[in-house]
Amino acid sequence: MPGKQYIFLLMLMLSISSCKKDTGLSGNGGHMKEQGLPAPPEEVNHSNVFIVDFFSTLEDDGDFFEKRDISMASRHIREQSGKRPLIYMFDRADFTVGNSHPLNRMSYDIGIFQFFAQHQTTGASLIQGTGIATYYPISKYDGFAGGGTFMSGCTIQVPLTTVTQIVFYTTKIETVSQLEEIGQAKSVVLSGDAVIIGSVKNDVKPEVLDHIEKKMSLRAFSYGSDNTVTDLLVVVPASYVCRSVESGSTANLPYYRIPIEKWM
Amino acid sequence: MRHLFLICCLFISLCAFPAEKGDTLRLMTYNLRFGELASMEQIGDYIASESPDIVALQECDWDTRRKRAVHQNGVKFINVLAGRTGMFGIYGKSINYCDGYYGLGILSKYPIIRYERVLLPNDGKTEQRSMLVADIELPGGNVVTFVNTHLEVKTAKMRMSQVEFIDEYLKDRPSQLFLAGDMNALPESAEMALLRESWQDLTDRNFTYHSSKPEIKIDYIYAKPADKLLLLDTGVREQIMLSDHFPIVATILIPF
Repeated sequence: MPGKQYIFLLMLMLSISSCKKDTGLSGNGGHMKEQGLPAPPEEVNHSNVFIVDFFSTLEDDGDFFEKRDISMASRHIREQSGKRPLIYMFDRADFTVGNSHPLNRMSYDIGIFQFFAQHQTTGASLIQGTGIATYYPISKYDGFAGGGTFMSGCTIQVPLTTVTQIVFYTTKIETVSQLEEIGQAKSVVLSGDAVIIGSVKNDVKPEVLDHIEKKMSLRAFSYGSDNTVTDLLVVVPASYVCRSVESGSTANLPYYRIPIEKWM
Repeated sequence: MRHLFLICCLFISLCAFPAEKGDTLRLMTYNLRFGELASMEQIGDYIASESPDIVALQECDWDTRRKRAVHQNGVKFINVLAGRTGMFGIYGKSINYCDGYYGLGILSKYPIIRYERVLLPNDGKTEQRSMLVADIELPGGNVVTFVNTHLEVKTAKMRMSQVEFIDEYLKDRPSQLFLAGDMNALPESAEMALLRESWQDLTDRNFTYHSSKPEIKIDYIYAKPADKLLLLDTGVREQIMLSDHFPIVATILIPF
């Protein structure tokens, strides 16, 4: 009994310490870098902003929920108020064949649609991947794996000023050649309303951002610190912009809140 | 002498049925009758007891407010079933209904790497029908395409155009295909005859509807190409009364 009380108190303290910090374009060791594309208007059209929450340590250090409680993630989603995120991503949420996927419980607890974006085609019994969750009904979920990378995501009708069908992808980039694979496989989709949110390995970040802008004609942002193995990567069409990223945590679940605006 | 006889029998059976290597899959289709006759927990527990690999579910509600099934009001069928069975669950809305959605669901033990909800032909006079097309990666790395549908009930003409549409839509898929669901058509119908021209029926001829007075067969599981798999077992579960349909379970082997 005392053990349970201790755990409850600990959870309560962690919940109270749940914090959010608007780091914007600078601060706290983080940095946000946009490649040289035409600048969007300074004034934000809030009606055209949608939000994505990306849960990650940016360390690529194993299953996110191995040491973290999935019920805290459910609570995070359930307790959102105001303008809620459209979609939640969990990097990583691995799957072991024969077991239930971690997000399955979340789906059951809070009635959210959940998807598993596996990081590569594999016959292994333990499959690394990213979990995706959204309350929006999904009519299409698209997955691509090749060249040692993956990109998966779902199509959502987003209620902006005009309802816009946007594809939300997630990926993990470690080399420029992986981007080339993705560009070849998904060039048509990426030329439309498609957003990529994932991670980029820190030591290839400059080349990756450069490639995205010059070869793919997309707007790319990265966010993170030099102390992490990877940075957050946000790739949007030229008509979209990500002006800032907020980092925060719910209990011991670190996340990045990414507001994206369609400005054109 | 007796031991020698048993050893001979074993040897003969091994020669006659050499052990095939491949993916063994247990497939199920089940029309849930919008959960009118049972809770999702009961249905989930039943599905789990069959230990299927992939399940096609029809008449799946998501957060509806039906007067005929008050106990299911607000229930998100596929979420509960996925949670209860521990399988991946995907949902395809066919129509908005009673403040929620009505449509199709697929449960899979293995990762669903892509899927789409495709609307079927509709003349505007009948209910909008759909199919849910999912690519699923098996443990060995092979990918199969599993399609779930629920065809038009009122007119054979519309049903035929839906069958033709499905067949055409899937014709260039390179993977092993499965088509499961409530076809609302008898085995001797022209629609099912058309399907059998290129698809293998993995089900028997036992009745699947109505569970309280079974008189017709309208639920099926098909496979294509037909010559690349072995049907190991198939059966209608006539003792399961959780819906007005009986579930069907078929076990197949896709040799490597």
